[in-house]
Amino acid sequence: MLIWLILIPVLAAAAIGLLKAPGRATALVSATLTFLLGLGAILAYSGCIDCCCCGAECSQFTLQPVFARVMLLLTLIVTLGAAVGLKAPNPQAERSWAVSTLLISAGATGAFLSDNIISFYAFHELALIPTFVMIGYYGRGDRRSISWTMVIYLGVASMVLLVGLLMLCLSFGAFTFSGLAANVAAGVGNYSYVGAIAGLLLAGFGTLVSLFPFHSWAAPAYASAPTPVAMLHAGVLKKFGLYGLFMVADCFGSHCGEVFGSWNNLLLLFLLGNILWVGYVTVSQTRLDDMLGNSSVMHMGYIFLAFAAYIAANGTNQLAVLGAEALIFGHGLTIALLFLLCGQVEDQTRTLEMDSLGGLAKRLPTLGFLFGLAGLASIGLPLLANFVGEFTIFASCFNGTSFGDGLMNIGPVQVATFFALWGLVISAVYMLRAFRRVFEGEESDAAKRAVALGSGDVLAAAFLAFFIVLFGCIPVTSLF
Amino acid sequence: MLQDFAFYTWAQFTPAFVLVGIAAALLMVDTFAPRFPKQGLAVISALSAIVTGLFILPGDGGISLTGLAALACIATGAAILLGVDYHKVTCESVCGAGSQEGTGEFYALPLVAAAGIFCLSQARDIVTLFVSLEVLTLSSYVLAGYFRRNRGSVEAGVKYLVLGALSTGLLVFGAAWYFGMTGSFSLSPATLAVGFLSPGRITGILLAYVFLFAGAFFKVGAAPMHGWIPDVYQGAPTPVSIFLGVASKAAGFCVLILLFRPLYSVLSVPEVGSLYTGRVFGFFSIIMAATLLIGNLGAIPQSNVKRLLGYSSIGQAGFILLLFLGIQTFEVPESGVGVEFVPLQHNVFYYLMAYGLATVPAFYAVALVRMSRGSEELSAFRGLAKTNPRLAFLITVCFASLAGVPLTAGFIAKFRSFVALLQGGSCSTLCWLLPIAVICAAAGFYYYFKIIREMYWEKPLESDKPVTVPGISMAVLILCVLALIWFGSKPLFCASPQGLWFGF
Repeated sequence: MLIWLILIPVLAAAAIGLLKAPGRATALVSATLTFLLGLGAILAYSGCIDCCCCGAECSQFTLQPVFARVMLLLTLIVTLGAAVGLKAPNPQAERSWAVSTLLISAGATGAFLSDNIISFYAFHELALIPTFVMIGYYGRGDRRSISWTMVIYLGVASMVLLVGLLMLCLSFGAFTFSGLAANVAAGVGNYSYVGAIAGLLLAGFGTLVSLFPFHSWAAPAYASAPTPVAMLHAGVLKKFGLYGLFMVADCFGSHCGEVFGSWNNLLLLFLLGNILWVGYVTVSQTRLDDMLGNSSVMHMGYIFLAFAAYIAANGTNQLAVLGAEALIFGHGLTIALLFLLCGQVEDQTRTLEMDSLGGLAKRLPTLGFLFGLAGLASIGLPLLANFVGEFTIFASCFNGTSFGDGLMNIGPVQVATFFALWGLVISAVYMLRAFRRVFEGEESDAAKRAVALGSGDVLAAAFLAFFIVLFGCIPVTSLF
Repeated sequence: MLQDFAFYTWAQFTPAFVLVGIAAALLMVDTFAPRFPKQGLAVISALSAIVTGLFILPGDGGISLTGLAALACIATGAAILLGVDYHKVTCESVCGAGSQEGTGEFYALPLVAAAGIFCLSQARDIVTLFVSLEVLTLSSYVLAGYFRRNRGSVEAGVKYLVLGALSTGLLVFGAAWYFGMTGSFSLSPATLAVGFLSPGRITGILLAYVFLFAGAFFKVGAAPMHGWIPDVYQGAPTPVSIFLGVASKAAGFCVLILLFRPLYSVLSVPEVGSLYTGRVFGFFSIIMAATLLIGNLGAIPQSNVKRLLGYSSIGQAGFILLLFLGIQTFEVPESGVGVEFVPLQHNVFYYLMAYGLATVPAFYAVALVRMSRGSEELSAFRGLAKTNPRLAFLITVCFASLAGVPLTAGFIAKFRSFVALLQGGSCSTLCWLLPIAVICAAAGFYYYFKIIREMYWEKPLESDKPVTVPGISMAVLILCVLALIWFGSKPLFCASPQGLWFGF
């Protein structure tokens, strides 16, 4: 059954691209179908690895890891939101946007459900290609050079990652996550290259998630990408790297400190670069799309912090995993909603320069309300989805630390957390400032151009906002 | 000496006789029935090559070298099939528009060459190997220079002839040394072992091998014998470029495996292996690195698509050579010498199949664009996504597969190369060869995607009409693309990861 979650969008994309089926309608049908099917699969999951066999060979997809189920749910929600809110400048663009939405979603689903590590890698690559093409073809600003930078960054990162994964698989004699975990548990495997493997994985996955020194491709790419591509890439696909790191670390269980430990301090330094450096860069942005792109890069720092806490505790810190799951989920929904609303702002006012916007909330109160909600979620307001994740991550960093003996057992992770907490203040600054400049104050000329949102626009945004509130009240990790 | 040839039976060579027979019959028709449409000859010739290829294709892929020969026959058929749609250009370039005189051999000669490749795959001694190789090569000389009113083609023919003659000379020289040192032409491990284990002959045998390998490297397009490839691919008629790019390369790898097999068997004798394994694989590693670098970095600045595909074929040969490193990890069985070559032959077969399935349609696309827009430059592909969206999609899949994008057969093929490298390379080799392989694979993304960029990002000129795609070409393109996607995605959906490095 799980195979259909990938085949339906691929077939729908083929129908749109090759047989000239209507773009938005087909994408909607496909997204709704996969949403229902996937929801059914998640709810009906009872511990059996996907039991559907095609011919003699069984399919390799599995819902076994909790993380995979969280990621699948995120993918399904964001895809449906993007399909509902799909609004392209012309019919041909609409078809391309629909095809890319479906292909990215199929690739992401395939990657998150794969047990086979090479398939996991391959599906992600499949999802990257439409991203490049769409940015190069329909992007804003200097789209070709942005797209080309992205191709080079992510192409090299993928090669580095592939080598790392191959070395990992060959050292431990298994090409599946489950096999890897079994071999590690059985004590099979060669630990002599683990340091190099961890370095390659961190560099490869890190670049894909825009970890600090390798992050400069990301913000321009998101800012330039057409709305559905930005939603799916920043919201879903980018999390592939973090998902991969946690899956590999999980396979090693209590050996994960041995594998990743030597890189942990460097990682802490880098993730502080994400949170503080990119945070300040975000504050100084003057365009709404650039600001959102940078904020997305910045928030990745928190999830890396969870990873560092997990490694530092040698895999015993389950709170860190829960926090990472919740924040990946919450951030995915929030950033997707923000990019969706950003696209609507541009659609209504023809500009994204924050200086020339202003007073938009008077014209479009619904848009203002939803943007405010998403912005507050992104800052980490309680009862909204991100808060669950951020709070759990910060708590997990002090998990097991006792203050009884003075400050003696405060380690690098805890020190980094003190600095990382400042990120919350930085987010509040840029997000609230952006809200004020775009939605409040005197009604600008740009805001006067705004007419009214379409029903699809509101529906898509309300759909995503509903889940942000829902999973703010019920943590997503408590469902599984 | 004659017992070297006792191994062969007549029946073994039946497919070669069939191919030569059909070629002779076609030549008769061409001579005595000049009015007979030459496209008809092309169809018959193409079908007979493809049917022969499918007939000899072993069910298990490349367990024996016959698999490679079958691949070459099918590629030959595909090359001739392009000739049907390309017939107008052929007529113009051979004897002027409006006449079909003198174009018949163009469709018959590839069959002779294919027969040569088949004999090559059956060869177990150097004389048969050499004679079959020459049957292939002599036909190729004629074919490369066939468009005599086209300066590029004539230049390609002459270059190929001169450089080919040089490589033949080296091969003969190597064969002479081989015979001198072992007293036999047989390529059996036992023969070589006798020579290898007698004192004072090892240097001579290694010298023989250097020259023999040089001849094989010429055919596969490995450095330092790669110089002819870009010029000849660019200048030769496009159907011939397909033949040279896929069929002739398959033949080259037949030769390489035939020569390598006895050498490796001798190396597995401990007292020889401890001394020479490192040297032999060190020599191969340098060849691999040079081939990868020249092919992949040389392709980057190219603006002519055929030339780019030429460099790409050098680069892909480098990745196929990497597979040879993997042989060190296969277990050497007690009995049945050469069994450890089964996975290697299989992987070479798979890689060549993936490469052929992508390269054949790529050349088809070049020919189609050339016929409609009169140019083989990259810029002739501009805006193809606007004028011919379906054709553009098919071409995209082919080039994506060449680059090694996942879910295409090209990814699985490159994946196997990397596994072979990581498993077989010693730690010190990995330190320098692995980064080179990574850089070259990344470079592949750059230059193959240049065509995709041209098709999707550039706008067509006002004067650009849609490229006309005849039925046969479209069918070949669609078939190849479907096969690429099927072979590339099937292993990723299946639970057993074995499909990733062995089997289909």
